[in-house]
Amino acid sequence: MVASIRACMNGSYPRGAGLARLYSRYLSGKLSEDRFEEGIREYMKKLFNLLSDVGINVFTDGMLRWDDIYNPLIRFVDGVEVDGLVRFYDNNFFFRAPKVRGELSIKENPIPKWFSEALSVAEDVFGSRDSFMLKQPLPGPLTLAEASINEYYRSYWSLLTDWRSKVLEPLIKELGKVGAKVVEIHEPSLVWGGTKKTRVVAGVKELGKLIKYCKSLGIDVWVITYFGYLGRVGKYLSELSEAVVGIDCFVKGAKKTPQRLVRDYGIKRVMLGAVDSRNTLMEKPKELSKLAKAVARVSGVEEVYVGNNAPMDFIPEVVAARKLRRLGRVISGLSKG
Amino acid sequence: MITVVWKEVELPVLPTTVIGSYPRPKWLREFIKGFRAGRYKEKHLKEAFDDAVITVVRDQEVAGVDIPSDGEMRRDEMVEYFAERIEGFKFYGPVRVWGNHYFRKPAVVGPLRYRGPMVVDEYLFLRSVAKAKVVKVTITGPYTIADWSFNEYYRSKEELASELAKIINAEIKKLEEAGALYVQVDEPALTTHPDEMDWAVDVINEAVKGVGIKVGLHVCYSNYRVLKPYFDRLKVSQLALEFANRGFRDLNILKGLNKELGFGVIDVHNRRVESPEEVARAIRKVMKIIDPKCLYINPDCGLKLLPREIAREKLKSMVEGVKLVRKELARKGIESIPLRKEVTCQ
Repeated sequence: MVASIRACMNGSYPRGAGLARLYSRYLSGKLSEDRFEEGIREYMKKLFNLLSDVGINVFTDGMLRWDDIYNPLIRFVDGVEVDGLVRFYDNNFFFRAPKVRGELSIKENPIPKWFSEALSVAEDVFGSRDSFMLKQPLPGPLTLAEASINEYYRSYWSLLTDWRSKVLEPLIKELGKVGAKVVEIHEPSLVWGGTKKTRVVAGVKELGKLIKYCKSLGIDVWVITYFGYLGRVGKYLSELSEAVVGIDCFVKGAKKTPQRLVRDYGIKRVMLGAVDSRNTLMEKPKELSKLAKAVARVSGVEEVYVGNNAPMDFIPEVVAARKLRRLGRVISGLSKG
Repeated sequence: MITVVWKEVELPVLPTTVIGSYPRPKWLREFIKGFRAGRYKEKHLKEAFDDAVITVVRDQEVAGVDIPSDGEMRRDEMVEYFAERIEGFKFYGPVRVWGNHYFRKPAVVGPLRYRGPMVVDEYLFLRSVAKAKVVKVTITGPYTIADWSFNEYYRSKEELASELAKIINAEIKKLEEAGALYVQVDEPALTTHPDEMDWAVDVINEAVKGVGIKVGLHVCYSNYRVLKPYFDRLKVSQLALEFANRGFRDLNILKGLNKELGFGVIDVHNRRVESPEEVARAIRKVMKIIDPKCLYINPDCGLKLLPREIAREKLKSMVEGVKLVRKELARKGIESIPLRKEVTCQ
């Protein structure tokens, strides 16, 4: 049996000039909160219309309200102060780091409300909830722990555990209450060469616990990895067997092709990050479809998603839109024949 | 115009300088908007830029900065500006750098070619209006231009960066011919891909090859542990590094530095103005590792994202903090240092 192949959009969609202006006017007090919220909904609807037009019905809200994968989440966590700018892995992109100065615990926050609003905009565009899959992106426990400037926890392991159990799990529970069915956990630190092996192993275990917790709530989990080679954690991937696992297909020096990774590590549900969100070069349609088909044919693979390898903040909006159009066309073409 | 012969240049100990950019005055920002809307002619924009340079050099002089820059008044962004002046680049649109801040990231779509001087006129104008003996000219380095561009043409990033190194080298030599004494190559991207460090350092050395003036290298918001093994290999006389943003953690990596250090004491992403005492404390801390005769004092990075009045206050505080330490050094008979172009300072 050949697995199903679907196109998807992961993580952030670039803030275009109009949305950037909206933010700028809001942040400088020239725009009321109501007008700002209205503007966000308009831009989200524009994005969902684009996705609907190109046949992509598995997506996020584009993280239009987020500065990066950590902010604003870390502003809603007790025990955290928002610190100086830190480079996001090897990109010319920076985030404000969480400085941990007390015990972590999630505060009341608007993230579930934002999800609920995105769900309603998606329903306007796509119709019934069965016709699309809206994912809520969140940073993973290891990625949060690695980004933290820890001034409180005596042990790194407690910090890692608390990001999962005291921040992510309660938040996901609230998201479940407003209709979230899928959370997209971003874990670049899992495959990033700079993360210590012992931490990676502990990070995978925490993810395993998170997946189990989510399953108990009826919520599916995607673990998106990027900027590194998934083979690095290959032997631990059984912990993630219930989740959709993301592979960055543009990692330099990867020892195995995505199809070999999937086969050798028994990945049943995979997201192929085959659309490069760090270069303006357009993907070749033939290569995209060839890769997707090759992975779908691997024995034991049940679901194949094809999407952007990493957040799309790194390319201009015009290029991101062009890439999504091409992706949608190629994957729709596959299902037609 | 002040002409300075190299051997005559003496600076006060702990010379104060800026990294490069400075906030554009509000009226200039409005004028640029007007120009883009077609309300002003190009010659009027040039006049506005010149006036702005005079204004921000004056800000730096009032604050007491020893080595001013022109505040990069004419540059919207550090990679964009050079990409617009080198043949072979194309712009698709802005990309985000952090929060709600963006830059027009260029794409290399054809062979690169040096069209001629890019910042020599900037230097000549700055030189003509600044009272300081030495001024600083900044130029974005080849590795950072390559790293912050989309490469659609060259077979590898290394090949692209090598082409850029030839162009930057030609530009620095033009600056030298024009009389510049101090050029700072900005390489904020340098440590972002540790596996590329070997060839990245070669590319930077290629960009400064055969240059007979002082060359500094600015690297910020970076993992300095990745940079440390290359201190010796870099053919520059100074490393200007950011430390205030990281709360002066990581100073230990400076052990064994055999060059001058441009020590970042002002956080450019925080509007709180540091006190002179805080600045002095930080300098005393770094002096336990670096000889004061090998030390310059500067903000962490360009000041352009701050409101102008805050940038001005921060510079004043920086200079006042330096004065506190200079008094202590004067008691030990250390009062001045030469402007060095040598690649070591020990």
